[in-house]
Amino acid sequence: MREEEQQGESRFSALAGKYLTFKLDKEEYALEIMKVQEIIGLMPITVVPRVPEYVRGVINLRSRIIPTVDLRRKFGLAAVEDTDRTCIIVVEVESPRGKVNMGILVDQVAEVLDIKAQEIDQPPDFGTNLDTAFILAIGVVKGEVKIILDVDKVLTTEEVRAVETIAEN
Amino acid sequence: METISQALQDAKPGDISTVGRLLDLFGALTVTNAARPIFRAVSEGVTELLSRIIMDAVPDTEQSLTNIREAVAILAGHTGEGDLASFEGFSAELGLSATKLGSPASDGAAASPVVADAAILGEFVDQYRRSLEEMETFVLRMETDGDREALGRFRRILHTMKGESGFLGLGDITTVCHETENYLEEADPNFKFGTLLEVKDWLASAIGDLAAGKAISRKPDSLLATLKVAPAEGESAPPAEAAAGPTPPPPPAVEGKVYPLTADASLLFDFVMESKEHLALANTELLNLESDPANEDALNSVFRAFHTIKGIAGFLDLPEIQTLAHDAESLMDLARKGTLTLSHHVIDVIFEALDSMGNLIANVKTALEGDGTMAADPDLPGLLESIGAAATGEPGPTPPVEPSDQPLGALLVESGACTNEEVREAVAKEQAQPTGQKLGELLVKNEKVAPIQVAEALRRQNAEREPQPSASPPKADGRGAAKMRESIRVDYERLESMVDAVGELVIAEAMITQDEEILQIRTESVGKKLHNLRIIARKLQELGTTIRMVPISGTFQKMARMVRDLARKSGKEVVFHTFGEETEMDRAYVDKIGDPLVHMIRNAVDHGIESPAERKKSGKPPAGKIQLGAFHEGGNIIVELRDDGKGINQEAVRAKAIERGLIAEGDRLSTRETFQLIFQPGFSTASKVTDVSGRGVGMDVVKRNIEELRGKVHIESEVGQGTVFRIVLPLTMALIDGMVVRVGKERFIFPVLSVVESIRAESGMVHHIVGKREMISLRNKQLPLYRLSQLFQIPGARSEITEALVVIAESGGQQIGLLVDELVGLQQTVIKSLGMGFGQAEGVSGGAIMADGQVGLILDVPGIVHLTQKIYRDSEVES
Repeated sequence: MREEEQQGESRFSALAGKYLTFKLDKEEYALEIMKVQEIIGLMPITVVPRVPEYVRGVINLRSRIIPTVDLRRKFGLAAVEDTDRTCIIVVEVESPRGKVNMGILVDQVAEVLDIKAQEIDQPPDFGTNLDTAFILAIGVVKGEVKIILDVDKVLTTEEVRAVETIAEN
Repeated sequence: METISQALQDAKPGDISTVGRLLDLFGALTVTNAARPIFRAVSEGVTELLSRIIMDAVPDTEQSLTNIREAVAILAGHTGEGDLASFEGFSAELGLSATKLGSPASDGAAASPVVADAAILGEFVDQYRRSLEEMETFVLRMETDGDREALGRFRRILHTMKGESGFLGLGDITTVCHETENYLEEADPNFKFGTLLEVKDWLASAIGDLAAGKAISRKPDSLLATLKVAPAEGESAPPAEAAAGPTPPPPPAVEGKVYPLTADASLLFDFVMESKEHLALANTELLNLESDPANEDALNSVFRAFHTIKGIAGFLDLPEIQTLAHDAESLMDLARKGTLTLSHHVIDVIFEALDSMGNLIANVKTALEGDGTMAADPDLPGLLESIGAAATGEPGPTPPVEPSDQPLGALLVESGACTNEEVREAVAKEQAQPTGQKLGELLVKNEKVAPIQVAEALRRQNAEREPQPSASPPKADGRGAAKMRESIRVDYERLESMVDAVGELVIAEAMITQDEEILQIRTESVGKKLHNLRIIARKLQELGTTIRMVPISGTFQKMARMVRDLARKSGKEVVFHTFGEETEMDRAYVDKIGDPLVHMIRNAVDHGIESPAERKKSGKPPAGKIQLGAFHEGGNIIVELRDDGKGINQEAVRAKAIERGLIAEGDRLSTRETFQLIFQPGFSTASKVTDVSGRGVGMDVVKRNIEELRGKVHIESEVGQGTVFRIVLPLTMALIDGMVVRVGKERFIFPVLSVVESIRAESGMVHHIVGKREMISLRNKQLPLYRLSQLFQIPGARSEITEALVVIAESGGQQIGLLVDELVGLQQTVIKSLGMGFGQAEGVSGGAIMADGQVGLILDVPGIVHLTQKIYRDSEVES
């Protein structure tokens, strides 16, 4: 038992560090701070036809075009009206084609948080559900649950697959 | 003398050839005036100075030339002897540059005019006493470890001494120095060091005499005799590693040897860059020369290219390049003097020399990037030999040649150079074991015939093929008139980011000047400032689009060479002509258009142009014509390739397409659609595969490459008349001319290149067929009509066709109608990628930042066509 705990600790010690947390529906999620480029308020989004519906469209970030994903739609949550707290977190993700920037649309940014190794636990096993593949771990800080996301998987794997499926058809 | 004055007027510091001409003239002057010490001394001095100018070893070329001009002016008015003081500037210059060259010999000469009085003589003596000691050390160093550097220094002292003693009227010293120089040249590298020491001893005694105020007591006669005999005896050769030294003449290249690069790396890099330009130019001019052997400008240009490379290579210690350039230059020189006829064989040899030179220069670059040593080129000695053979192969004026188009073998037999059996044997051998050599080469190699006999026969064979000189006017005229422009090299990426920034600035400007709040400020001063801002932004935008534009001439030059080689290979005769080389286009195009052009030209030579016999049969001149040109047309760049060959047989294309299952037996295709079939992968109507083309790869590559450049290819062809390929490219890569349309609340950009026209449909034009499918009749053509709002599922679009706009778009020869709400305007936009993931989004090729700062999507018409077919298929499956 003791051994297992130690093993667990060493496994998660690599995950310990600073996270940006944001709110989506009723839950709080965490993104590794190193992946975050900037946080911007909501701006006009150009809809792109014939892409997966969770892709809200593209934005113009200082003359760079950044695709933006609506995380509510991605996670299958009920759609809500955008509010003045709705914002876009621009992250840098690894993709098969190298580093790219993407925006993720969230309800509200919460805080920057230090999560220690002993506060991190592995996610519950839901079987082979792909929807949870991008959950890296669960952090419990002062009794509150933070879902730690593997941002590379959230924003690329699924999309690449989706786009490939379209192309195959 | 008049000629010299004239040549001096023409001499320009930057132009090596004019200086080279001067050098020749003064060399002649030295010989003809050997009896007149002053003339000889001055012209020898000038010769020395001129060689330094060529080697770029003088501090101020213009000044040196001025000094020479002065000296010549005095010389021209000079009748008697004496009065050497007049040559002040020029001799000071000589002294100065001698110092620069590292010889301590002439320190004094730099400061004082050389006058034949006691004081000056005294100075001469003082200097050379020290130099003589050095000379002895140099000789010893040469003997013990074959130090070439020492040889060079030794020679330089001799040379300066020769010049200065000439000024002073010390005839014996001058003669000894001169003869020793000759000896060094002839005996190299088998010197008799004893003889060199004898020279030094004699000079020491002579200078000793002068120092004592006496005349030179020992006559140099016996020494001179030794110097003349010596070369034949050559007993002690210096060790082999002496072979790579910095001094002219270049040591012979030793096979398998590795040369260290000793010169400064940045100088070498500059040399590589510069030489490439020289070679490219020489290639072009040589082609001109081939079609018009009387073109002196072209001849001189090629000569100059070799000459310049030789000079710099010598300076940078690149013996192989120097040797090759030297030999090639000598060959060209014979042609310039009219003692060598530029036969096809000679031109071939020069082309080979150019190629080999290119390789050597590439080796220098590789060596620079690698370990700093370059291996000797094993092929070089062979090439040098053939250059030598070409130079001696056809001496004297060309006898009139009887034209003949008989095969070479027949000609050789006819002229009695060899027998029928020998030719047959050589041919059989080559067929059994191909070595890639030509018949003539084979026969020469097997010692059946002499090279000159082959050359003679080839000349006869070519005499008929020679195009009329009048048919191709020398192009050099236009080139000469072209304005020299100053330019600097700029890192491409830096340029890219600047162009990007300019693009962004233009957008930012539009956002400011069209901002609603700002528009409400109606004071005159703000208006003026905004207007000013707009003007500057427009100017920058124009510059931004043109800054990356370069002329296409470089690409065309390469093609000219290729056509020549291909024609030779396939036994066809092709006259290649280009126009519009000066047309400027995006640098990215110039780089990328090369590949497709290569494929197209290969096709033209191999499949388009018929063999001379076939052409004769169909009443065409035996030589086919291929024309490559570039020009601007309606905001696009057109690159056109035209041949007068057999054209594309539509029936053959059709049959092949049916055979390959690309179309069905009953399919009706327009001419245009039929021609587009040849762009299908693996499509080839060629019945035989040659080593040039015919494997059916190629045209699909052409099409793909050009579509990558957002261009189109059109084909026009008439059986028996020839084929025209027309590549249509947008002006630049980074910008497209866009037509902005609105659908619902969304805006889209059509690349203008994909749009045929846009029309407002009248109700009678649109028909519904098979349920939901719509069709529009346009001038008796029925085009499928799609609603962009449906394809892209955009809400709120106008549904009444008569209120909306139909854009007729085209892709791959197929036209479709697309229904949009309205035309918003025309706009030049910078194309940007949409980023990860939707790179493949069908129907959209990228995005652009619109004037209001939002992203607009650029439509991909080929993608839309594909999409419509898919949706149509899906809906059929459903129903």
